[in-house]
Amino acid sequence: MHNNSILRIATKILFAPIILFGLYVQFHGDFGPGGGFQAGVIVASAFILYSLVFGIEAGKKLFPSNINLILLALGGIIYGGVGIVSMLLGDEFLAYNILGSSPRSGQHIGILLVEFGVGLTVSNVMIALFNAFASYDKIKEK
Amino acid sequence: MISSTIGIWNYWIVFCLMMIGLFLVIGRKNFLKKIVGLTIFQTSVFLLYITFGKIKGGTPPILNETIDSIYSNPLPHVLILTAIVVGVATTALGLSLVLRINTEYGSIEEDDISAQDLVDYHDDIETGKSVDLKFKQ
Amino acid sequence: MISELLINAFLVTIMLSIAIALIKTRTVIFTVILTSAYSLVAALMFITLDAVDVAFTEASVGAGISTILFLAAMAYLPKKEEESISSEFIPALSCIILGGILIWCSYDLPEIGQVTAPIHQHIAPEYIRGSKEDIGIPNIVTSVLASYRGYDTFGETIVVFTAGVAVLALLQKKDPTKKNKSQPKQKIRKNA
Repeated sequence: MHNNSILRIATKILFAPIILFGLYVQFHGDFGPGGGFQAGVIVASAFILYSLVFGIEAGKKLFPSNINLILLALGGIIYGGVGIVSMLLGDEFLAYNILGSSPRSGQHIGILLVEFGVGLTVSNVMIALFNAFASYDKIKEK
Repeated sequence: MISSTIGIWNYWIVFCLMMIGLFLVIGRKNFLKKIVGLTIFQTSVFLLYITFGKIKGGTPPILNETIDSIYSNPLPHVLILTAIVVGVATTALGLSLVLRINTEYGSIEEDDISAQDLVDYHDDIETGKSVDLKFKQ
Repeated sequence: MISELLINAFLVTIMLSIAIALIKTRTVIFTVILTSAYSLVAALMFITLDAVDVAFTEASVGAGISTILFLAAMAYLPKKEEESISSEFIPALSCIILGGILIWCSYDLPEIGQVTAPIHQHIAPEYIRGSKEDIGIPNIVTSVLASYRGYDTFGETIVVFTAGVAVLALLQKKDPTKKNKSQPKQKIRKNA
């Protein structure tokens, strides 16, 4: 697969549009179908495509696994953090009304942040799963 | 008559799909096939939920200011949306367990694995080693 | 309306035939490809049932990522499924009986698409009205997912995170260069 020029060039061309589409789905989720879960999977699929065509080592060079692990936890922290912030501002856990100047804008900000956290976690979990499966060593560890 | 049959035809097929998934889980001895069976079962349950949420002549639950329309029930959609992503995560967990079993036993057939366990158990008894608790039951 | 139902019935019957083919096949690669096709037809089905968000997710997750994971795992596993020694009669019989009972019960379920069905009475109208007036987001699914059921989604996110960490813990290679550092830890683990 490493010598197939069609695959290599098509991957290079497709990589950026896939991520762009992922971001569109992420931030347009309020108005059309989409949201954090789908966007996370689409962004992850761009990195998985890169790893499939150029090899797992090149994929790890593009997106190092220690950054992957940090972002994997960060998504959940962002989600929980929005809840904590709304608590510190004097409302209940994950009550977004207080985040903005008006309840409606507060809801908008809260939903955007929460969806971003979901997208971050899902995309990084999917990349981590693929890396773990692809670089699994078959030799017995005894 | 025909319209009422078609009205519950979905349920019948969904139940058949559920049973096929269940059969793959309990009837087949290959672990990978068992996980595929779980996926089939899961997707059929999703279909059942979404079928409940449908309203005749409804539109997808995205608000439209210009046309006054009926929206299908959004609640099952939300539940299933998250369940799909959790489902793939748990499927991956099951697959990783299958991989570990394959490295330890060299096989993913249930019959082979239980035979190997039985041989180990008898070996332990013959050599007088303390038998591991998990095989005693 | 009847045409909508006919399309549904057609698609769901295709799913049944794919599932029957799954029972028949003993080759792992066919199993994986058929599972992917099953997910894709399920996504079509969700579109005809007005669940666009769910269809989106099913097409990208069920037909995309899970197929890739199955293929990646398949590389380490035997390519053929063995014929099992024990009989498959009792599992098949119990499945047929259970399926018969479920189909018999399906006569009590409401017909597809009835507005008077109990599920449409309770909380869904409030969500639809609230999404318009209180939250101001056109996509009702997003507003219910992130706002009304924020706790639920938080839990699901943590479950995805935990599953990812568990897979990493199960599959990660031991690094040979770090062996000396981690030796005391290994000893403790063996004793425990």
